[in-house]
Amino acid sequence: MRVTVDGFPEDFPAGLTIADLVDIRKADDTTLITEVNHRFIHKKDYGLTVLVDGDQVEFIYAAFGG
Amino acid sequence: MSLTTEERNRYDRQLMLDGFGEPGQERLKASRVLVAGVGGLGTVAAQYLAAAGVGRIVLVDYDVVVMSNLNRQILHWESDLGRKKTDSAAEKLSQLNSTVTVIPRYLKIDDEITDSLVTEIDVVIDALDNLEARQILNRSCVKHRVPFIFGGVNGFKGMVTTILPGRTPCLACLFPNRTGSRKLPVLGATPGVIAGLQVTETIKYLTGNGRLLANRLLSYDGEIMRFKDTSVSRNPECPVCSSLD
Ligand SMILES: [Zn+2]
Repeated sequence: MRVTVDGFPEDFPAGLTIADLVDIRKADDTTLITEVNHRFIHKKDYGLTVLVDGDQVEFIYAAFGG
Repeated sequence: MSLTTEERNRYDRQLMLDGFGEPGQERLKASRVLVAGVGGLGTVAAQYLAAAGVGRIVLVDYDVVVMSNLNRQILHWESDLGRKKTDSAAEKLSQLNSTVTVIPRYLKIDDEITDSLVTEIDVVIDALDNLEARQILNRSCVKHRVPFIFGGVNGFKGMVTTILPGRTPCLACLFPNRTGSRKLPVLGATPGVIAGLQVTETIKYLTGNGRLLANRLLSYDGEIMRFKDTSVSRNPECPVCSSLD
């Protein structure tokens, strides 16, 4: 299946979850926010959210400076 | 609380705004806004609040002005080095608009104090520089159901969302972590952009105009000059706000 990550389409095996993708991309960070098809995914749901063909995933890093 | 002739003149351009008028200005005059943090975001936010005629502006900070603040904290000048940021800012804001009341409060955001800070406040502008203090303030705002305009910056990037306790996700719904503060790079204009958005939200909320950035997290990236909007939702298991309805 094809999933677009941060604007670039890529092939992944079916059944991939957000948690898997975070692992593959070494994206884990305390400030990480994940968006799938413009919707925010709660951290507790990363392991439960299975991606499907055509999904658009964006990793955003929160800004906490002032 | 009707407007004086001088006020009608001063606020002429915003009185012309659709749906604003004298009732809108009177609402601002009667409003109380807390600016938490008087740094990059807070100095910009406080200036626009004062210029717009928000009647009571409470400034909270527990820091003094140092040289490395001056690239972005535009209410603090060379002559203010070593002064409390709250005093430095309050002095200039009173000169900018002597008809608003500015209350400097030199204190640290902690569990003991914040509850008493947010009572009798209509909106809190989050202009803090670390997540821990934000989480503390968020808890008090949720408890007292005070709108909390989250804003944060890092380098060329920033984010904003309007938190209406019980109606939108709170800060802890979105960021369950409590990461430590660290020294981040900041282009001075970045907090200018973000604080400008926070004040826009504040004034819309206070006057009842427009559509708020509620249930949406806006991210800004000045390096590639892109704004992006993410739909956000409450965490039904949020330890801070899940019991509110
Ligand atoms: Zn919450």
